[in-house]
Amino acid sequence: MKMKLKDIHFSYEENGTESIKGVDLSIEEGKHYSLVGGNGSGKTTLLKLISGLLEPDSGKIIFPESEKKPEIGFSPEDPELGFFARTVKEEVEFYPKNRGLNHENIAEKVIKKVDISHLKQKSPYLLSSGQQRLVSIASVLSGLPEIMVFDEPTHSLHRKGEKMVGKVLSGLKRTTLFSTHSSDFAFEFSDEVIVIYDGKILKVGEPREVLSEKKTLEKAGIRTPGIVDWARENSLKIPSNLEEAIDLIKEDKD
Amino acid sequence: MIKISSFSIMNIEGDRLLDDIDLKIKEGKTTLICGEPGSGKTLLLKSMKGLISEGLRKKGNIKREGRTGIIFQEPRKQLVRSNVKMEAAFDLENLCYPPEKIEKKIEEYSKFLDAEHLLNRDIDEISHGELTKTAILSVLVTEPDIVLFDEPLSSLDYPNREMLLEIIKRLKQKETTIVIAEHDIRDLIDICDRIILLKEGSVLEDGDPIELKNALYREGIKIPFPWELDIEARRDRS
Repeated sequence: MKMKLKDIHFSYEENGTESIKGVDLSIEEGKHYSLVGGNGSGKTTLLKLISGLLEPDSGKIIFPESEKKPEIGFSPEDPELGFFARTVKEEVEFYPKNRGLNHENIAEKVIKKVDISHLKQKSPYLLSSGQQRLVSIASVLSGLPEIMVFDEPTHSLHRKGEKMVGKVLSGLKRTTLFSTHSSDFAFEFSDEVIVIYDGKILKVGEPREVLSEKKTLEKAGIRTPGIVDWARENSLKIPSNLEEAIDLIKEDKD
Repeated sequence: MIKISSFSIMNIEGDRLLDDIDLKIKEGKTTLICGEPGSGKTLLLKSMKGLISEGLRKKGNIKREGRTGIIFQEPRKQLVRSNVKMEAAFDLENLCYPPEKIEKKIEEYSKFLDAEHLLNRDIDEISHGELTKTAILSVLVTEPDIVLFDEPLSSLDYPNREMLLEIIKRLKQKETTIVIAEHDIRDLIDICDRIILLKEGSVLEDGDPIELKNALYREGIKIPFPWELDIEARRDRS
């Protein structure tokens, strides 16, 4: 077990309304978790608590297997909030440089991986919102933190960008948590889905199971993934991705 | 109506961010501008309102007939006052409307948007979806002939998306000219009359959503899952 959250409570103002109302959660080593929920459900707050950017009012976050707190990288929902460097290259090099890693080498690899080589010498502030998103993701990846946390990593990205980010994140051999509005993205690219509603955890489980539960999705204000709707309309079992769906059509025809 | 003629935008380094665009946006129609990140969709939309950032140079011209309003991707960034009703009054005060008329317009459009309950709330205490509604309210009170939306859906959850789509449908019924920049067209196909697909600052395709299905997919636009499956299954067979 990488991390355990025990009865976490948090409010932004003293004695104010709680944004997080008693969250218990176990995070396993090397798994990829998606956090889904409506606007204002507490996704960002919970990710900030996990990252150590906010301190819980009560409850505990423990790391059972580590002697000291592991390194956690955080990519904010608004990428500009994390920027400060003159160029994309400097921005991506900053985190590994700070950690005493071989920054030039690592940054180069990461920049290639998220396909932003053509933006290397540009100012991160002058990019489109989708390009800024990729730079923000690269700036966390390059630091090689043990736990990686991404707040809305696919916000402002088109389908191709979303798939690329999904493949990069799900291919990491590190513990990863990300929040998303896109149930399609959570369905395809996470091992476990955490559904949050009104500061509490409603459900945790495998994507196919959690994201096909009508009641849970309706309550949390989440759209049913397109692939689930499609399978239901065609009375087929729910495939885990597009390739499996194509196979199902073939079988159905045979 | 918006008429864009030989319109280009260049940055300091001389890159053409928009390259020789010629377009006519017809009255009363809903037009979608699509394209991958950096293709120029937000830039084109902002240019339609006359908003061009510092450091960018333009060439060619854009002619607008009628008043234009814009709703930004992050609605919080366009709100300047602390209370919803005061915010809604801001533009009208600047246009020197008399107080009774301001009151009437706010009443009319908060009803149109089902936003009456928000009027006395503070901007800092309302939800993300309510901020979007407030931004739309403060634009609609000025009764624009053209309403521009910059990626309106991307930060909204499902219930708020439904809310926004309902507002767009109501505006369409009133024959307002609507232009939306988006890379996710799944919920907009039934609403829009035309799609303009941009690539590297130029118009790649211009037409009916269903006709452009394959081109949209190629450019990485989010399309409905059955469309995506259909295209991939065909590719698999051939």
